[in-house]
Amino acid sequence: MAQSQLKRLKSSLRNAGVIGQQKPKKAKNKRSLQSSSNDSRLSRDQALQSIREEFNPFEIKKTKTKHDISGQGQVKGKEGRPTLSKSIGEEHRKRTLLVEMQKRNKAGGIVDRRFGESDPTMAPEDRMLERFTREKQKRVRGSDIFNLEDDGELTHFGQTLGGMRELGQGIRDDFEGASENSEEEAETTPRLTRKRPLGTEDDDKDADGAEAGPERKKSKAEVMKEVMAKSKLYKYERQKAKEDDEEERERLDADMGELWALLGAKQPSTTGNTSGANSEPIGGGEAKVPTTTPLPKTDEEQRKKELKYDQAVREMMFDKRSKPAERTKTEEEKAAEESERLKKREEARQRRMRGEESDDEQAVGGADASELGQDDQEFTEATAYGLGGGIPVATYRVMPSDENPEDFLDGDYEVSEDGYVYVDEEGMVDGEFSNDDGGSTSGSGENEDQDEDDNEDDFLADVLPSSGIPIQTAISKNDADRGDRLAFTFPCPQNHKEMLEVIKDIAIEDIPTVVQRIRILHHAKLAAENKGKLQNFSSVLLEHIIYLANLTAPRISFSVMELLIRHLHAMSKTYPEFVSTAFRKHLKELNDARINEELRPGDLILLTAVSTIFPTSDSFHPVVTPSMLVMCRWLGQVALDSTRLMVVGTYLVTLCAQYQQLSRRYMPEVMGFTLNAISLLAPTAQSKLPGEFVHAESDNVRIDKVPQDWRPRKLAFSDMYAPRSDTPLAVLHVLLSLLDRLCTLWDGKTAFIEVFEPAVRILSYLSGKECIGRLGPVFKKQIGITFHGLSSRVSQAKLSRRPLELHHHRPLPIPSYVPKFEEDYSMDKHYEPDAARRELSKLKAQHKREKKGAVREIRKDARFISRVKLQEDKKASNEYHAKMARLTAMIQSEEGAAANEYKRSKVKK
Amino acid sequence: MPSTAALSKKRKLSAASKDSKSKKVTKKSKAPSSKAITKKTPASQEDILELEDAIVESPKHYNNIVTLLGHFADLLDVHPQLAITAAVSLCRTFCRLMAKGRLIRSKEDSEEEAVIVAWLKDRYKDYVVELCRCLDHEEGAIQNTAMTLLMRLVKDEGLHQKPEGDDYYFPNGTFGKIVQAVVSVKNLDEEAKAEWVEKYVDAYDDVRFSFFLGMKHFLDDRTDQTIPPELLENAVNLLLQLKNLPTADTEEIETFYAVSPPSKPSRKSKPPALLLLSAHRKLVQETWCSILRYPLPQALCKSVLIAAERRIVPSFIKPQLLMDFLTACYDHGGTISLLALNGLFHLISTKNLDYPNFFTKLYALLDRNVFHVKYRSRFFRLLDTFLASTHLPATLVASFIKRMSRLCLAAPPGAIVVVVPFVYNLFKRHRATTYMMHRIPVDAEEAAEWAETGYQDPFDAEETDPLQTGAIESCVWELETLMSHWHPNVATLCRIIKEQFTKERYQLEDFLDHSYGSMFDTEVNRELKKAPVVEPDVPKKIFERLEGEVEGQNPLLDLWSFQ
Repeated sequence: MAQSQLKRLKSSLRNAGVIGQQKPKKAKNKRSLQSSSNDSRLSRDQALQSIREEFNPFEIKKTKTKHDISGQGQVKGKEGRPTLSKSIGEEHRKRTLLVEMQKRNKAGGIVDRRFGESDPTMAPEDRMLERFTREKQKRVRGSDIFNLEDDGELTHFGQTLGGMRELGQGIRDDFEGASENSEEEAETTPRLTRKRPLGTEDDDKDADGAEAGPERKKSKAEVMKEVMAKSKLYKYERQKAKEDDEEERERLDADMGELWALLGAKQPSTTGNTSGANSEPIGGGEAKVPTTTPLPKTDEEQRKKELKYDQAVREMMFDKRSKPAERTKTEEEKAAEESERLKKREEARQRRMRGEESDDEQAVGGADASELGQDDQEFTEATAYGLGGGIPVATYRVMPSDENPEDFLDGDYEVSEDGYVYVDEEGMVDGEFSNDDGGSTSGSGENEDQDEDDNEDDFLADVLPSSGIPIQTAISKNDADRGDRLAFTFPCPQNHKEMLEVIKDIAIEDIPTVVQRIRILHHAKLAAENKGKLQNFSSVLLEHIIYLANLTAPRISFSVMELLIRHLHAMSKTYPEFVSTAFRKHLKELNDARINEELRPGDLILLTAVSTIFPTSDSFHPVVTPSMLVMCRWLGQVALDSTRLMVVGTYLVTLCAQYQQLSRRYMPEVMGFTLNAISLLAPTAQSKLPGEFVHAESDNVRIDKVPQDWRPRKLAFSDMYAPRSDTPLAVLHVLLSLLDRLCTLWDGKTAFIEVFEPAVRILSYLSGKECIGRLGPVFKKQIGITFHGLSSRVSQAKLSRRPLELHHHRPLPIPSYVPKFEEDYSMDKHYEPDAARRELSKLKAQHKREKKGAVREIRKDARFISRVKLQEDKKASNEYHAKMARLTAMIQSEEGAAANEYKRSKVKK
Repeated sequence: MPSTAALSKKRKLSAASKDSKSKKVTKKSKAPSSKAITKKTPASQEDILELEDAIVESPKHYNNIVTLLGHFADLLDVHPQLAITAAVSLCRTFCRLMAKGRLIRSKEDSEEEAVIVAWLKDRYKDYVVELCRCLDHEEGAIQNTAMTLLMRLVKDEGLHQKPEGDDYYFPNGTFGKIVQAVVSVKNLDEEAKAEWVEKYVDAYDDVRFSFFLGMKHFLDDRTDQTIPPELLENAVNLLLQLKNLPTADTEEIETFYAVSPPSKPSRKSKPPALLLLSAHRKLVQETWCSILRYPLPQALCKSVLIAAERRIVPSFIKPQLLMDFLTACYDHGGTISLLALNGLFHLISTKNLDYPNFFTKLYALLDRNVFHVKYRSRFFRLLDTFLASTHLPATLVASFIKRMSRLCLAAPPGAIVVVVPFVYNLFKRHRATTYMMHRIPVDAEEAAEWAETGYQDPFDAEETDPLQTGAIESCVWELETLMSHWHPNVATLCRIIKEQFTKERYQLEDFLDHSYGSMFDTEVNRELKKAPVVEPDVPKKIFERLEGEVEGQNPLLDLWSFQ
């Protein structure tokens, strides 16, 4: 393109149609018809303007690139139009800043909203014409101003949106072309968008969207417009549908007569409520009125028949669809099911015993702890193992999803069918309840409430001979013997005081009956609020059991205790949380108040009840674990100096052995207590005590002499609180048997030798000549048997002892880290690995850029303001000078005139 | 009491010498003077106040002091309120007299004036003694007042009784009496003592200095070299209550109760001993040494040992002086040895004390009681320090590991919880000891031997020398057994021995403070998240045997009878 400047100008002028061959007249006329002459002039001006710009070497500023880089796309700021952007900025300031400046310290003002007033491109005639048409249109529209259906022009700030669009057009077009290239322009852009009136923005967006812009956000006006349009549409549709319905119904109504005729029935009254076809009763009622269309009159029988039929149909609607009944199971099937159920239950117990779920959780906790690091105050390593001290890590045994407690409770009933449910004299198994059971077991937890009730009932059924009969009669029948002594109804005690009130005049033997009646009378099925009442009653019952034990010791009626505990057990199946909470409350009280002294009988009964009500083999159990803690704490900290303490301790050791019957966990305190107690009971103190247990010397409880006629006996519960003379002997006897049991319990532990060797040595001391003489033949025999049993087991354990091999782990791979390699590494890029920091630095850069831009803008504004001010000042001063000059001239002329006059007068004189 | 002649002389003298004053006196002294001498036992407070006024007005009525003293002493048991009033009056009187300079002898004084000064001084001493006696009164209010008055006197004495030519004076004599009284009285309750210590002795440097002087004096001046145990206990308790003892870090001695000594001492004299930190510390050290010379009862010994590290040793100039005491305590055995360990360790590590067979003794400390005593965590902290070195022989470390795991077989869960991470750390630090948890036969021969006779445990529990126990050849079967401890969390923790040793180190501090109580609270305060499992079967019998049940199933029923 090595043409000269002039040639290029010429060609471009020709292309624009400004010079060169004129078009033929016809074509010209055609064009003038299409558009007004005004338009053509306008377009010619535009074309000229663009050509002028094109050929002005100062209009475009280009940044030379030394090397072209491929694949970079369009580089921003390569080409700029400084003058243009400057003028745009100026223009914009005139529109915004200048206006603001002029409006400063002024309120109000009149905005000229006349059509086309600020549009210089319009000829005054056009303007007038357009205004006139608009006025006309408005007047026409004015009549239905509230009619939404009409598509009215929406306005913003009183200006039509269309008008505003037109206004913005001219400026935007130029701007649009420049915006991509000019660097300076890029900086002004935010300001422009900020201060631009809404219309232009819309337009801008529209233009963008038309080309290939992203989905733009709708303006509020548009949204409103849409909403209105939609609502109108819906309204229209509704009306339409209603009209259609109306038509349809009218048509149907018209046809109705024929239809009735077809049916051969009497036409119902049309005066009645006939509008809804559906609400018309099928069979009709008695109140049918003969209709206008005469029908053959049917007789009374016919009508009755119909009525009957309708009634039957209606009744059948309420009938349930029949279901196939459960097949009666054979004995084998029942047995198989039963064994399957037991197996499942045992598996669940085993799982809980191993504490598998909780183990997992703890392992997770431990890992967390190691990850978190050691300086984390909140989460110490110890807490990772659930040892307390702040955050309780969930060591709860989470029930596996497949073992729903309801399942147990459910299945439990089947056992009760065989074993528990009482069969009365007539051989009638209680009807209602077994029915219920059948339903609930087959339904497998389809109705939880039902199940719960059943389970609670099971013990009721057990103690109640015939609970199938209605309650009142059940009670009366059952307690025919006591009927005259006991009331039938009792309130449900909500606290222990009320309980005491209830049983004020009742013998202790009758308390279980009272409890049973309370449970029946306030059965959860009978009233909604009974559930809450019974929950409270369960904790009251526990409190009363403890109270009763404390009250009646040492002569506790264990048959009553037993019944009460079993009642409690049955209730705890229904309300496990409540009963457990009650248990934990009592354990807490025990731990707080009596841990270092003699335990009360109630405490021991409480701990015994725990052993039967809760599964003590669980790895963790919210009731059993605290109970174990309490017992072991007592055993570990007691100072044995009285027989009573010794008996209490022996009872606890027995309970501990009972607790660990299945899980066989090792209990250091129990072993320590047992050996300590035996060595304290020995007739003479052993000089050097084997073992590691804590031993406090005391001679209060030593056995002095065993009477010849003493027979070994079991310890009695009453020995604790009313010791007899031979109680220490019985304690020794029991402790020796316990030692045997512990030996069986912990057989197979790797440290069996270490645990039991001290016991062997203590026993050998007991059977030595110092003691055995005073212990008598009975103990000689027993000690001998125990000693031999233990020592043979210990020697056996020695034979089978192997070194520990705990660490057959796969060797851990040494972690290796491949150095990270960045492909296409560039010095200019920032490789910040931390995402947060990366974000931050991005934000910082953006902030810096914005700030720079803003500063630049503010400077430009300031310059603009000063320029405008200067102009204004100049103008003002010019005006002033002009005025002054005028005045001076006037005065001078007057003076001159006066002087002339004066001269004249002088001359005249 | 001075003779009447002397008194009359005195009156005359004072009347003559002080004109202005006598004038004042004549204005309004007639009535009180006659009253003061005639009345022996005042019935009311007004009388006492009149007596007091009279003394202030004129030296003629100095004899009223004697009367007041008499009232104070006589009425103490009969009418304590009046006695106290008398005491307060006396205090005021003496303070005023001191302010006037009547209790100090100046060179210009005539002989007669000197007599009066000496007499007044004697009365002052009587008064102080009487007040000290009040400290032993049954009533707390009287004790308190007496103490307040005494301290007031100390202050005023310090202010006004400075001998000529001295830069500084503190009434060490008077204060020494107070100290002696506080130590030896029986009725003064501990709280009052603590308050005294906190308010005066611990708060002011000069009082503290004087306190130590008095205490040292009190302890050293016993001719028979014995001291009743309760006095000793009192003294030690007092000393232990002091918290702001001067240490090497003490910057300046700057809080004074009575009077501040001149900060810039005059050129010729040395600064008073009070201002020298070293003198202060030396005094503290000497006092302690004189206390420790007496045989201390066990309880006292324990409290001294507990305080030793934090309170006592820092104020010593030469902590080595405690060496004998500490080694004696360490050899004593039991809890006392345990407590002495700390101080001993301090001396070993900082003062290069050589203690032979330290580890043997330490090993011996691991007896059956150590896991049950109150100072368990303290001991473990120290043990952790002692066994921290990687240069210890593995045999020795193995002995400690084995011994501790053996003790765990009878230990409470709180102790097991410490031992396990501790042992883990030891295993991790001394790789040679890991054979104790993982030992595989070297060859088939050895395996066959084990199969035949079982593995013979070479550990000798009776051996006292940790290098000879053979523990490194043994195994920690005990810890393996504890993996089935009844407490689920303890059992879980024990299993870390069996897991792979990926963790570098357990922070012992996290495991130290657990006990039955804390564990129980953790368990009970944990909220129930899920309904606890309940035994599904209601047993038919609890306290009775079912028919058909065999012996051995149920220990409770086998061994106990319930009727």
